[in-house]
Amino acid sequence: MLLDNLRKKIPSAQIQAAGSFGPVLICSSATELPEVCRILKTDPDLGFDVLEDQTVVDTGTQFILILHLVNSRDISVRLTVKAPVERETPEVPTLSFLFGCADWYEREIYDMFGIKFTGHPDLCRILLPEEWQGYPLRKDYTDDKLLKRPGV
Amino acid sequence: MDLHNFKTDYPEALKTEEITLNMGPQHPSTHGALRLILRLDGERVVSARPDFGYVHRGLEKMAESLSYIQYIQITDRIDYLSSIMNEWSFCLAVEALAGIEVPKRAEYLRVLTGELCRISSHLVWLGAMGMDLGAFTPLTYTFRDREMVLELFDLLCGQRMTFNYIRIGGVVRDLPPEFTDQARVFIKYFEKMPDIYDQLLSDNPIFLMRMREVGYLSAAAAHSHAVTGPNLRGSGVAQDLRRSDPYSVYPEFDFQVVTHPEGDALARYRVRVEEMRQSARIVAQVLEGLPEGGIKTKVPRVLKIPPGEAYSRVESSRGIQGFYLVSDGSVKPARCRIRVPSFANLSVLPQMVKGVKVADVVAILGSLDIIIPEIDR
Repeated sequence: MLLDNLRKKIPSAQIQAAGSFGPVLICSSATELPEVCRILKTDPDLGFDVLEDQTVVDTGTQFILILHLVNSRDISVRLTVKAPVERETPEVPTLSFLFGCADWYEREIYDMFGIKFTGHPDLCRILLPEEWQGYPLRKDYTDDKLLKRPGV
Repeated sequence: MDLHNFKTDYPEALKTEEITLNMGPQHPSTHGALRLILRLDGERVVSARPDFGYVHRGLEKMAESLSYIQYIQITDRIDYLSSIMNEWSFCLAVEALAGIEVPKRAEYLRVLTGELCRISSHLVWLGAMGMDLGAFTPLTYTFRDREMVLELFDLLCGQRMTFNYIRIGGVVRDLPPEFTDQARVFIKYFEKMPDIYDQLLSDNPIFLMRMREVGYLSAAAAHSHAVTGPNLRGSGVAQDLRRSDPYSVYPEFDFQVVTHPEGDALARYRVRVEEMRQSARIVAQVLEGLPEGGIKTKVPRVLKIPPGEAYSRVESSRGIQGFYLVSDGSVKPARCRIRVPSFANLSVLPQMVKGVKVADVVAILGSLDIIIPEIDR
Protein backbone atom coordinates (compact mmCIF):
# COMPACT_ATOMS: atom_id res chain seq x y z
CA MET A 1 0.00 0.00 0.00
CA LEU A 2 2.62 2.48 1.13
CA LEU A 3 5.05 1.16 -1.47
CA ASP A 4 2.48 1.58 -4.25
CA ASN A 5 1.78 5.13 -3.15
CA LEU A 6 5.48 5.92 -3.04
CA ARG A 7 6.01 4.51 -6.56
CA LYS A 8 3.05 6.45 -7.90
CA LYS A 9 3.80 9.80 -6.23
CA ILE A 10 7.57 9.82 -6.61
CA PRO A 11 8.31 7.99 -9.87
CA SER A 12 11.82 9.41 -10.18
CA ALA A 13 13.17 7.65 -7.08
CA GLN A 14 14.32 4.10 -6.72
CA ILE A 15 12.53 2.17 -3.95
CA GLN A 16 13.72 -0.70 -1.79
CA ALA A 17 10.89 -2.46 0.00
CA ALA A 18 12.67 -3.20 3.28
CA GLY A 19 15.53 -1.34 4.90
CA SER A 20 16.74 -0.75 8.42
CA PHE A 21 14.05 1.88 8.96
CA GLY A 22 11.04 1.14 6.79
CA PRO A 23 11.26 1.27 2.99
CA VAL A 24 14.22 3.07 1.46
CA LEU A 25 13.74 5.79 -1.11
CA ILE A 26 16.90 6.44 -3.10
CA CYS A 27 17.08 9.73 -4.98
CA SER A 28 19.50 10.01 -7.86
CA SER A 29 20.69 13.41 -6.69
CA ALA A 30 20.36 15.50 -3.54
CA THR A 31 19.02 18.43 -5.56
CA GLU A 32 15.72 16.53 -5.83
CA LEU A 33 15.32 16.36 -2.06
CA PRO A 34 13.23 19.52 -1.41
CA GLU A 35 10.66 18.49 -3.99
CA VAL A 36 10.61 14.83 -2.88
CA CYS A 37 10.27 15.83 0.78
CA ARG A 38 7.55 18.33 -0.01
CA ILE A 39 5.52 15.54 -1.62
CA LEU A 40 6.32 13.14 1.22
CA LYS A 41 5.21 15.70 3.78
CA THR A 42 2.12 17.21 2.19
CA ASP A 43 0.60 14.31 0.28
CA PRO A 44 -2.34 12.97 2.34
CA ASP A 45 -1.56 9.35 1.38
CA LEU A 46 2.04 9.63 2.56
CA GLY A 47 2.15 12.24 5.33
CA PHE A 48 5.77 11.83 6.42
CA ASP A 49 5.82 15.09 8.33
CA VAL A 50 8.30 14.37 11.12
CA LEU A 51 12.01 14.43 10.32
CA GLU A 52 13.21 12.21 13.12
CA ASP A 53 16.84 12.31 12.10
CA GLN A 54 19.02 13.68 9.34
CA THR A 55 22.59 12.55 8.94
CA VAL A 56 25.40 11.78 6.53
CA VAL A 57 27.60 8.75 5.93
CA ASP A 58 31.01 9.20 4.36
CA THR A 59 31.80 6.18 2.20
CA GLY A 60 35.24 7.48 1.25
CA THR A 61 34.23 8.20 -2.33
CA GLN A 62 31.01 10.13 -1.74
CA PHE A 63 28.68 11.37 0.98
CA ILE A 64 25.23 9.87 1.42
CA LEU A 65 22.65 12.14 2.97
CA ILE A 66 20.15 10.12 4.99
CA LEU A 67 16.75 11.21 6.28
CA HIS A 68 14.72 9.17 8.74
CA LEU A 69 11.09 10.19 8.41
CA VAL A 70 8.02 9.12 10.34
CA ASN A 71 4.33 9.91 10.16
CA SER A 72 3.09 12.06 13.02
CA ARG A 73 -0.21 10.19 13.23
CA ASP A 74 1.50 6.81 13.54
CA ILE A 75 5.19 6.82 14.34
CA SER A 76 5.53 3.13 13.48
CA VAL A 77 5.23 4.12 9.79
CA ARG A 78 8.81 4.83 8.82
CA LEU A 79 10.73 5.81 5.74
CA THR A 80 14.40 6.25 4.94
CA VAL A 81 15.42 8.65 2.20
CA LYS A 82 18.93 8.50 0.78
CA ALA A 83 20.64 10.80 -1.65
CA PRO A 84 24.25 10.88 -2.84
CA VAL A 85 26.29 14.07 -2.49
CA GLU A 86 29.52 14.51 -4.39
CA ARG A 87 32.58 14.91 -2.21
CA GLU A 88 34.60 17.69 -3.88
CA THR A 89 32.32 20.71 -3.45
CA PRO A 90 29.37 19.32 -1.53
CA GLU A 91 26.25 21.46 -1.87
CA VAL A 92 22.69 20.47 -1.09
CA PRO A 93 19.50 22.53 -1.04
CA THR A 94 18.17 23.07 2.47
CA LEU A 95 15.11 21.37 3.94
CA SER A 96 14.74 23.87 6.79
CA PHE A 97 11.67 25.46 5.20
CA LEU A 98 9.86 22.10 5.42
CA PHE A 99 11.01 20.79 8.81
CA GLY A 100 11.78 23.02 11.78
CA CYS A 101 14.43 20.71 13.18
CA ALA A 102 16.30 20.49 9.85
CA ASP A 103 17.77 23.92 10.65
CA TRP A 104 19.95 22.49 13.40
CA TYR A 105 20.51 19.06 11.85
CA GLU A 106 21.91 20.76 8.76
CA ARG A 107 24.14 22.98 10.85
CA GLU A 108 25.49 19.87 12.55
CA ILE A 109 26.11 18.17 9.20
CA TYR A 110 27.88 21.31 7.98
CA ASP A 111 29.93 21.30 11.17
CA MET A 112 30.97 17.66 10.91
CA PHE A 113 31.10 17.02 7.14
CA GLY A 114 31.38 20.45 5.55
CA ILE A 115 28.33 20.06 3.35
CA LYS A 116 26.91 23.46 2.38
CA PHE A 117 23.15 23.77 2.51
CA THR A 118 22.06 26.38 -0.01
CA GLY A 119 19.21 28.57 1.17
CA HIS A 120 19.80 27.75 4.84
CA PRO A 121 18.91 30.78 7.02
CA ASP A 122 21.92 30.59 9.31
CA LEU A 123 24.58 28.11 8.27
CA CYS A 124 27.42 28.09 10.81
CA ARG A 125 29.10 25.63 13.15
CA ILE A 126 26.92 24.35 15.95
CA LEU A 127 28.97 22.05 18.21
CA LEU A 128 32.58 22.90 17.40
CA PRO A 129 34.17 26.32 17.97
CA GLU A 130 33.83 28.77 15.08
CA GLU A 131 37.57 28.79 14.39
CA TRP A 132 37.84 25.00 14.05
CA GLN A 133 39.70 23.82 10.94
CA GLY A 134 38.37 20.88 8.95
CA TYR A 135 35.37 18.60 9.28
CA PRO A 136 35.98 15.82 11.82
CA LEU A 137 33.57 13.13 10.70
CA ARG A 138 35.04 12.95 7.20
CA LYS A 139 37.02 9.76 6.81
CA ASP A 140 40.15 11.60 5.67
CA TYR A 141 40.16 14.06 8.57
CA THR A 142 43.45 14.41 10.39
CA ASP A 143 44.43 16.54 13.30
CA ASP A 144 47.70 16.91 15.27
CA LYS A 145 45.89 16.01 18.48
CA LEU A 146 44.11 12.96 17.14
CA LEU A 147 45.41 9.89 18.96
CA LYS A 148 46.18 6.74 17.06
CA ARG A 149 44.50 3.88 18.89
CA PRO A 150 46.06 0.44 18.93
CA GLY A 151 44.11 -1.98 16.79
CA VAL A 152 41.18 -3.79 18.35
CA MET B 1 25.19 64.71 30.65
CA ASP B 2 24.28 68.17 31.80
CA LEU B 3 21.64 67.44 34.38
CA HIS B 4 20.50 71.06 34.68
CA ASN B 5 19.59 71.30 31.02
CA PHE B 6 18.10 67.81 30.75
CA LYS B 7 15.01 68.15 28.60
CA THR B 8 12.09 65.80 29.06
CA ASP B 9 9.37 67.74 27.33
CA TYR B 10 9.81 66.10 23.94
CA PRO B 11 9.56 62.37 23.16
CA GLU B 12 13.00 62.03 21.54
CA ALA B 13 14.51 62.16 25.00
CA LEU B 14 12.90 58.83 25.84
CA LYS B 15 14.85 56.58 23.59
CA THR B 16 14.25 52.81 23.76
CA GLU B 17 16.56 50.18 22.38
CA GLU B 18 16.92 46.42 22.39
CA ILE B 19 19.64 44.97 24.53
CA THR B 20 21.48 41.69 24.22
CA LEU B 21 21.68 39.60 27.35
CA ASN B 22 24.05 36.71 27.63
CA MET B 23 22.52 33.95 29.76
CA GLY B 24 25.08 31.29 30.58
CA PRO B 25 27.17 29.27 29.73
CA GLN B 26 27.46 29.05 33.51
CA HIS B 27 23.96 29.65 34.76
CA PRO B 28 22.13 27.71 37.47
CA SER B 29 19.03 27.14 35.35
CA THR B 30 20.78 25.70 32.32
CA HIS B 31 21.89 22.51 34.13
CA GLY B 32 25.21 22.37 32.38
CA ALA B 33 27.01 24.59 29.95
CA LEU B 34 24.33 26.09 27.72
CA ARG B 35 24.49 29.68 26.56
CA LEU B 36 21.41 31.57 25.50
CA ILE B 37 21.89 34.84 23.66
CA LEU B 38 18.73 36.80 24.39
CA ARG B 39 17.65 39.95 22.57
CA LEU B 40 15.46 41.87 24.99
CA ASP B 41 13.00 44.69 24.57
CA GLY B 42 12.63 45.78 28.16
CA GLU B 43 11.43 42.71 30.01
CA ARG B 44 10.32 40.84 26.88
CA VAL B 45 12.36 38.43 24.81
CA VAL B 46 12.58 39.40 21.14
CA SER B 47 14.70 36.46 20.09
CA ALA B 48 16.81 33.75 21.65
CA ARG B 49 19.73 31.91 20.19
CA PRO B 50 21.05 28.84 22.00
CA ASP B 51 24.78 28.29 21.76
CA PHE B 52 26.16 24.95 22.90
CA GLY B 53 28.91 22.42 22.28
CA TYR B 54 30.90 23.21 25.42
CA VAL B 55 31.03 19.53 26.40
CA HIS B 56 31.35 18.10 22.91
CA ARG B 57 33.46 14.97 23.20
CA GLY B 58 33.21 13.67 19.66
CA LEU B 59 31.35 10.51 20.65
CA GLU B 60 30.37 9.76 17.06
CA LYS B 61 33.98 10.01 15.92
CA MET B 62 35.13 7.96 18.90
CA ALA B 63 32.85 5.08 17.85
CA GLU B 64 34.83 4.67 14.64
CA SER B 65 37.94 3.69 16.59
CA LEU B 66 36.36 1.43 19.22
CA SER B 67 34.93 -2.06 18.93
CA TYR B 68 31.19 -2.52 19.39
CA ILE B 69 31.65 -4.01 22.86
CA GLN B 70 34.03 -1.26 23.98
CA TYR B 71 31.58 1.39 22.90
CA ILE B 72 28.78 0.30 25.25
CA GLN B 73 30.34 2.07 28.22
CA ILE B 74 30.76 5.24 26.14
CA THR B 75 27.01 5.31 25.43
CA ASP B 76 26.45 5.71 29.20
CA ARG B 77 27.93 9.19 28.88
CA ILE B 78 25.47 10.46 26.28
CA ASP B 79 22.56 11.04 28.65
CA TYR B 80 24.06 10.27 32.03
CA LEU B 81 20.68 10.36 33.79
CA SER B 82 19.18 7.61 31.68
CA SER B 83 22.28 5.65 30.71
CA ILE B 84 20.40 2.35 30.54
CA MET B 85 18.31 3.62 27.61
CA ASN B 86 21.42 4.59 25.66
CA GLU B 87 23.06 1.21 26.22
CA TRP B 88 19.81 -0.50 25.35
CA SER B 89 19.36 1.44 22.14
CA PHE B 90 22.96 0.82 21.07
CA CYS B 91 22.73 -2.91 21.82
CA LEU B 92 19.43 -3.11 19.92
CA ALA B 93 21.16 -1.69 16.85
CA VAL B 94 24.08 -4.11 17.11
CA GLU B 95 21.73 -7.03 17.70
CA ALA B 96 19.71 -6.07 14.63
CA LEU B 97 22.91 -5.89 12.56
CA ALA B 98 24.32 -9.20 13.77
CA GLY B 99 20.98 -11.03 14.10
CA ILE B 100 21.41 -11.83 17.80
CA GLU B 101 18.45 -13.04 19.86
CA VAL B 102 17.99 -11.87 23.44
CA PRO B 103 16.68 -14.27 26.13
CA LYS B 104 13.33 -13.43 27.68
CA ARG B 105 14.72 -12.94 31.18
CA ALA B 106 17.26 -10.45 29.84
CA GLU B 107 14.48 -8.51 28.13
CA TYR B 108 12.65 -8.31 31.46
CA LEU B 109 15.79 -7.13 33.22
CA ARG B 110 16.28 -4.47 30.56
CA VAL B 111 12.74 -3.22 31.11
CA LEU B 112 13.24 -3.32 34.88
CA THR B 113 16.44 -1.26 34.83
CA GLY B 114 15.13 1.02 32.09
CA GLU B 115 12.04 1.97 34.07
CA LEU B 116 14.01 2.46 37.29
CA CYS B 117 16.26 4.74 35.28
CA ARG B 118 13.28 6.70 34.02
CA ILE B 119 12.06 7.19 37.59
CA SER B 120 15.46 8.42 38.75
CA SER B 121 15.82 10.73 35.75
CA HIS B 122 12.38 12.27 36.27
CA LEU B 123 13.15 12.71 39.96
CA VAL B 124 16.26 14.73 39.16
CA TRP B 125 14.24 16.82 36.72
CA LEU B 126 11.46 17.40 39.27
CA GLY B 127 13.84 18.60 41.95
CA ALA B 128 15.73 20.82 39.52
CA MET B 129 12.53 22.23 38.05
CA GLY B 130 11.30 23.23 41.51
CA MET B 131 14.64 24.78 42.32
CA ASP B 132 14.67 26.79 39.08
CA LEU B 133 11.44 28.41 40.22
CA GLY B 134 12.67 29.02 43.74
CA ALA B 135 11.22 26.01 45.54
CA PHE B 136 14.12 24.31 47.28
CA THR B 137 12.23 21.72 49.34
CA PRO B 138 11.14 19.36 46.51
CA LEU B 139 14.80 18.80 45.62
CA THR B 140 15.51 17.33 49.04
CA TYR B 141 12.54 14.98 48.69
CA THR B 142 13.30 13.84 45.16
CA PHE B 143 17.00 13.30 45.81
CA ARG B 144 16.19 11.32 48.96
CA ASP B 145 13.93 9.02 46.90
CA ARG B 146 16.32 8.84 43.99
CA GLU B 147 18.92 7.60 46.45
CA MET B 148 16.83 4.46 46.91
CA VAL B 149 16.86 3.84 43.14
CA LEU B 150 20.61 4.43 43.01
CA GLU B 151 21.12 1.95 45.84
CA LEU B 152 19.24 -0.64 43.79
CA PHE B 153 21.52 0.05 40.85
CA ASP B 154 24.54 -0.09 43.15
CA LEU B 155 23.43 -3.55 44.23
CA LEU B 156 22.90 -4.69 40.65
CA CYS B 157 25.77 -3.06 38.74
CA GLY B 158 28.17 -1.82 41.42
CA GLN B 159 27.64 1.67 40.05
CA ARG B 160 25.31 4.49 40.92
CA MET B 161 25.59 6.15 37.51
CA THR B 162 27.01 5.08 34.11
CA PHE B 163 25.90 1.52 34.81
CA ASN B 164 27.48 -0.41 31.91
CA TYR B 165 24.84 -3.08 32.53
CA ILE B 166 23.37 -4.02 29.16
CA ARG B 167 25.42 -6.21 26.83
CA ILE B 168 25.03 -7.24 23.23
CA GLY B 169 22.75 -10.28 23.51
CA GLY B 170 21.48 -9.69 27.04
CA VAL B 171 22.62 -8.13 30.30
CA VAL B 172 25.86 -8.53 32.22
CA ARG B 173 24.62 -10.09 35.46
CA ASP B 174 21.52 -11.49 37.08
CA LEU B 175 19.71 -9.94 40.02
CA PRO B 176 21.47 -10.44 43.35
CA PRO B 177 19.31 -12.38 45.87
CA GLU B 178 18.37 -9.36 48.01
CA PHE B 179 17.45 -7.17 45.01
CA THR B 180 13.83 -8.28 44.56
CA ASP B 181 12.84 -7.60 48.18
CA GLN B 182 14.59 -4.25 48.24
CA ALA B 183 12.94 -3.27 44.95
CA ARG B 184 9.52 -4.27 46.30
CA VAL B 185 10.09 -2.12 49.37
CA PHE B 186 10.96 0.80 47.11
CA ILE B 187 7.90 0.33 44.90
CA LYS B 188 5.61 0.12 47.94
CA TYR B 189 7.20 3.26 49.35
CA PHE B 190 7.16 5.09 46.02
CA GLU B 191 3.44 4.51 45.32
CA LYS B 192 2.34 7.50 47.38
CA MET B 193 5.29 9.76 46.61
CA PRO B 194 3.97 11.44 43.42
CA ASP B 195 1.05 12.73 45.51
CA ILE B 196 3.47 14.24 47.99
CA TYR B 197 5.44 15.94 45.21
CA ASP B 198 2.14 17.27 43.96
CA GLN B 199 1.35 18.68 47.39
CA LEU B 200 4.73 20.38 47.44
CA LEU B 201 4.58 21.85 43.95
CA SER B 202 1.27 21.79 42.14
CA ASP B 203 -0.70 22.85 45.22
CA ASN B 204 1.62 25.81 45.50
CA PRO B 205 0.01 28.94 43.97
CA ILE B 206 3.36 30.54 43.12
CA PHE B 207 4.49 27.42 41.27
CA LEU B 208 1.17 27.26 39.41
CA MET B 209 1.39 30.90 38.36
CA ARG B 210 4.90 30.39 37.04
CA MET B 211 3.94 27.24 35.10
CA ARG B 212 0.38 27.64 33.88
CA GLU B 213 -0.05 29.04 30.36
CA VAL B 214 3.69 29.53 30.11
CA GLY B 215 5.72 28.12 27.22
CA TYR B 216 2.90 26.96 25.00
CA LEU B 217 3.95 24.30 22.51
CA SER B 218 1.43 23.32 19.85
CA ALA B 219 1.34 19.78 18.52
CA ALA B 220 2.10 21.10 15.01
CA ALA B 221 5.23 22.95 16.16
CA ALA B 222 6.30 19.89 18.13
CA HIS B 223 6.02 17.66 15.05
CA SER B 224 7.82 20.17 12.87
CA HIS B 225 10.75 20.20 15.30
CA ALA B 226 10.60 16.40 15.87
CA VAL B 227 9.96 16.97 19.58
CA THR B 228 9.37 13.64 21.32
CA GLY B 229 8.80 12.21 24.77
CA PRO B 230 7.01 13.92 27.66
CA ASN B 231 7.25 17.30 25.89
CA LEU B 232 5.19 15.95 23.00
CA ARG B 233 2.75 14.16 25.29
CA GLY B 234 2.31 17.43 27.19
CA SER B 235 0.89 18.84 23.95
CA GLY B 236 -1.80 16.16 23.88
CA VAL B 237 -0.18 13.74 21.43
CA ALA B 238 -0.36 10.17 22.70
CA GLN B 239 2.92 8.98 21.25
CA ASP B 240 5.14 6.72 23.25
CA LEU B 241 7.38 4.23 21.46
CA ARG B 242 6.65 1.67 24.15
CA ARG B 243 3.07 1.61 22.83
CA SER B 244 3.17 3.21 19.37
CA ASP B 245 6.02 1.10 18.00
CA PRO B 246 6.74 -1.45 20.73
CA TYR B 247 10.17 -2.93 21.24
CA SER B 248 11.43 -5.52 23.74
CA VAL B 249 8.64 -6.99 25.93
CA TYR B 250 6.63 -3.80 26.55
CA PRO B 251 3.41 -5.22 24.99
CA GLU B 252 3.25 -7.63 27.96
CA PHE B 253 2.88 -4.88 30.53
CA ASP B 254 -0.10 -2.84 31.56
CA PHE B 255 0.58 0.89 31.73
CA GLN B 256 -0.92 4.10 30.43
CA VAL B 257 0.55 6.57 27.98
CA VAL B 258 0.12 9.81 29.91
CA THR B 259 -0.97 12.88 27.97
CA HIS B 260 -2.15 16.33 28.86
CA PRO B 261 -3.68 18.50 26.15
CA GLU B 262 -2.78 21.99 27.41
CA GLY B 263 0.71 22.19 25.93
CA ASP B 264 2.05 24.52 28.62
CA ALA B 265 4.86 24.00 31.12
CA LEU B 266 2.40 22.73 33.72
CA ALA B 267 1.15 20.02 31.33
CA ARG B 268 4.70 18.79 30.78
CA TYR B 269 5.21 18.77 34.55
CA ARG B 270 2.05 16.71 35.10
CA VAL B 271 3.00 14.23 32.37
CA ARG B 272 6.35 13.51 34.01
CA VAL B 273 4.97 13.14 37.52
CA GLU B 274 2.34 10.69 36.27
CA GLU B 275 4.92 8.84 34.18
CA MET B 276 6.90 8.04 37.30
CA ARG B 277 3.81 6.32 38.69
CA GLN B 278 3.39 4.33 35.46
CA SER B 279 7.07 3.32 35.48
CA ALA B 280 6.70 2.11 39.06
CA ARG B 281 3.72 0.02 37.92
CA ILE B 282 5.85 -1.57 35.18
CA VAL B 283 8.65 -2.33 37.66
CA ALA B 284 6.14 -4.05 39.95
CA GLN B 285 4.87 -6.16 37.05
CA VAL B 286 8.40 -7.15 36.03
CA LEU B 287 9.18 -8.26 39.58
CA GLU B 288 5.99 -10.35 39.63
CA GLY B 289 6.44 -12.03 36.27
CA LEU B 290 10.21 -12.35 35.90
CA PRO B 291 10.75 -15.54 33.86
CA GLU B 292 13.52 -18.04 34.61
CA GLY B 293 16.26 -18.70 32.10
CA GLY B 294 19.52 -17.34 30.76
CA ILE B 295 20.43 -13.68 30.82
CA LYS B 296 22.76 -13.52 27.84
CA THR B 297 23.17 -15.13 24.45
CA LYS B 298 26.72 -16.25 23.81
CA VAL B 299 28.45 -13.67 21.65
CA PRO B 300 32.04 -14.06 20.40
CA ARG B 301 34.61 -11.96 22.21
CA VAL B 302 35.72 -10.35 18.98
CA LEU B 303 32.41 -9.54 17.39
CA LYS B 304 32.60 -9.26 13.59
CA ILE B 305 29.41 -7.75 12.26
CA PRO B 306 28.27 -8.44 8.67
CA PRO B 307 28.16 -5.33 6.43
CA GLY B 308 24.90 -3.47 6.60
CA GLU B 309 23.08 -0.80 8.53
CA ALA B 310 20.62 -0.63 11.41
CA TYR B 311 18.56 2.06 13.06
CA SER B 312 17.28 1.38 16.54
CA ARG B 313 15.22 3.59 18.77
CA VAL B 314 13.93 3.46 22.31
CA GLU B 315 11.70 5.70 24.39
CA SER B 316 14.23 7.33 26.68
CA SER B 317 13.26 9.58 29.61
CA ARG B 318 13.34 12.57 27.26
CA GLY B 319 11.99 11.12 24.04
CA ILE B 320 13.19 9.01 21.17
CA GLN B 321 16.82 8.01 21.51
CA GLY B 322 18.22 6.24 18.48
CA PHE B 323 21.38 4.83 16.97
CA TYR B 324 22.09 4.59 13.28
CA LEU B 325 24.95 2.16 12.76
CA VAL B 326 26.70 1.36 9.51
CA SER B 327 28.97 -1.66 9.47
CA ASP B 328 31.62 -2.38 6.86
CA GLY B 329 32.20 -5.92 8.10
CA SER B 330 35.01 -5.11 10.53
CA VAL B 331 35.02 -5.12 14.33
CA LYS B 332 34.37 -1.37 14.51
CA PRO B 333 31.38 0.61 13.22
CA ALA B 334 32.02 2.54 10.01
CA ARG B 335 29.58 5.22 11.13
CA CYS B 336 27.70 5.65 14.37
CA ARG B 337 25.06 8.36 14.43
CA ILE B 338 23.41 9.15 17.73
CA ARG B 339 19.88 10.53 17.53
CA VAL B 340 19.22 12.32 20.80
CA PRO B 341 15.87 13.68 21.98
CA SER B 342 17.21 16.82 23.69
CA PHE B 343 18.78 18.18 20.49
CA ALA B 344 15.42 18.30 18.74
CA ASN B 345 13.60 19.35 21.91
CA LEU B 346 15.89 22.34 22.40
CA SER B 347 15.54 23.40 18.75
CA VAL B 348 11.97 24.49 19.47
CA LEU B 349 13.01 26.78 22.36
CA PRO B 350 13.70 29.97 20.31
CA GLN B 351 10.16 29.77 19.00
CA MET B 352 8.66 29.15 22.45
CA VAL B 353 10.37 32.02 24.26
CA LYS B 354 9.53 34.69 21.68
CA GLY B 355 7.59 37.46 23.45
CA VAL B 356 7.72 36.00 26.96
CA LYS B 357 9.28 37.68 29.99
CA VAL B 358 12.87 36.90 30.92
CA ALA B 359 11.88 35.09 34.11
CA ASP B 360 9.68 32.73 32.10
CA VAL B 361 12.64 31.63 29.97
CA VAL B 362 13.92 29.77 33.04
CA ALA B 363 10.55 28.05 33.54
CA ILE B 364 10.27 27.09 29.87
CA LEU B 365 13.82 25.80 29.65
CA GLY B 366 13.30 23.80 32.84
CA SER B 367 10.04 22.33 31.61
CA LEU B 368 11.70 21.02 28.43
CA ASP B 369 14.02 18.79 30.51
CA ILE B 370 17.04 19.03 28.25
CA ILE B 371 20.34 17.47 29.17
CA ILE B 372 23.46 19.11 27.85
CA PRO B 373 25.94 16.20 27.42
CA GLU B 374 23.31 14.55 25.26
CA ILE B 375 22.98 17.58 23.00
CA ASP B 376 26.72 18.12 22.71
CA ARG B 377 27.70 14.43 22.44
